[in-house]
Amino acid sequence: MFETPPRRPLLAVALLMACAPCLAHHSAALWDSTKTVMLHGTVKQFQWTNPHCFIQLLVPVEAASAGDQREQEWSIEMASPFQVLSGGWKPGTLKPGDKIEVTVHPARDGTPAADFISAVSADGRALGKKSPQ
Amino acid sequence: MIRRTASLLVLLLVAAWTPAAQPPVERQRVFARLPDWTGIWMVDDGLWNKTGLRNGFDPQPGVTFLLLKDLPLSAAGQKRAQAAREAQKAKPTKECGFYFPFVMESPWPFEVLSTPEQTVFIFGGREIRHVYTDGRGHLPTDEIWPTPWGDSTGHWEGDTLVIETIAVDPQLLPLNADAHFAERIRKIGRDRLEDVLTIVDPVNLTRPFTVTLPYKRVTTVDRLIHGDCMQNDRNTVVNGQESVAPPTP
Repeated sequence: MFETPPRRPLLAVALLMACAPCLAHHSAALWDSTKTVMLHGTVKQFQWTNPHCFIQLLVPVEAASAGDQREQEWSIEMASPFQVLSGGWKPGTLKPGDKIEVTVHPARDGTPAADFISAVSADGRALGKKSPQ
Repeated sequence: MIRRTASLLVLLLVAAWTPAAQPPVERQRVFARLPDWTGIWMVDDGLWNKTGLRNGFDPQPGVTFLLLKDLPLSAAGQKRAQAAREAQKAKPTKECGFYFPFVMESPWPFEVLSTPEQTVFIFGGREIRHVYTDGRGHLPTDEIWPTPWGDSTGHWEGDTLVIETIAVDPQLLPLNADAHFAERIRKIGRDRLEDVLTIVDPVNLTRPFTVTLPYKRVTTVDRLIHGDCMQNDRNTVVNGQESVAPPTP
């Protein structure tokens, strides 16, 4: 009834793994999980929205000359509001003007977008809870 | 007299149509015997980031779905997996939610509501599984078609819910739509549930595949607040590549 086991089952599973994440909202291929970047900036907006929360962070760009105060706006994607709430965050955890430090995986395409890993406030306090379960 | 006979006939027909309809007292007894699975549950497979903060769709490196880890694919199953991978490469796809069986290993918390007639699994992504336990069978073959969550019937063996699911649209899974899924779900501790799931697909698997999915009680929230993909979907596909759109001004 069942076929003889294939010679290369590991290859098959590897192929399947590539497909699995896309069964959700979008695949993990969007992010470069081999790179971890720390962003220091000022919160412009905290989007407490489905399907993802976003931190809009204004990050100073390296000054080309003295007095140059340019900023780049990053879109930092988190999980859904319910998942983020489960992790100890609240809609009011971040407010415009807050200075924070966020650790992220950047987007593969080089745009200022990233996948959230963790964040601390200006005074070094971890935002959210470490282990909500 | 004719009206009375007709009424009686209608009553008899309704009684015959209602699957396992029970008198109220007996129904209350059945209700009282159902196990208490109240609360909020979440899979505890090591796959999803435990902080709940990160994008739930970015599994931790080196860890994969228990559902896929040791899936014994046949040559035909490998071919299907390869085709699915190529299709994904050619056209990035976005979904809103998890299909069965992946919904049972999704990052969504869920609740379980049991009545004498059915047990319903409600997930945070608004996915719902109805498991009919009142004796009704699967839909007849000419009235059933593959859907993302299939057609589930079940019964109780003590405190274990035994489920049979058919007609699952495999989507990107390398399975046929006539694959069978058998589950045995039970509480194994005050704060633990488990689902022993067996997949049978003689074409794409070399043998029936059984996996145990563990669940733990979620204690940080006391209700489900559902997610959706409509409010602020910024994940656009541009030139065949997934991207993040700027915020709407």
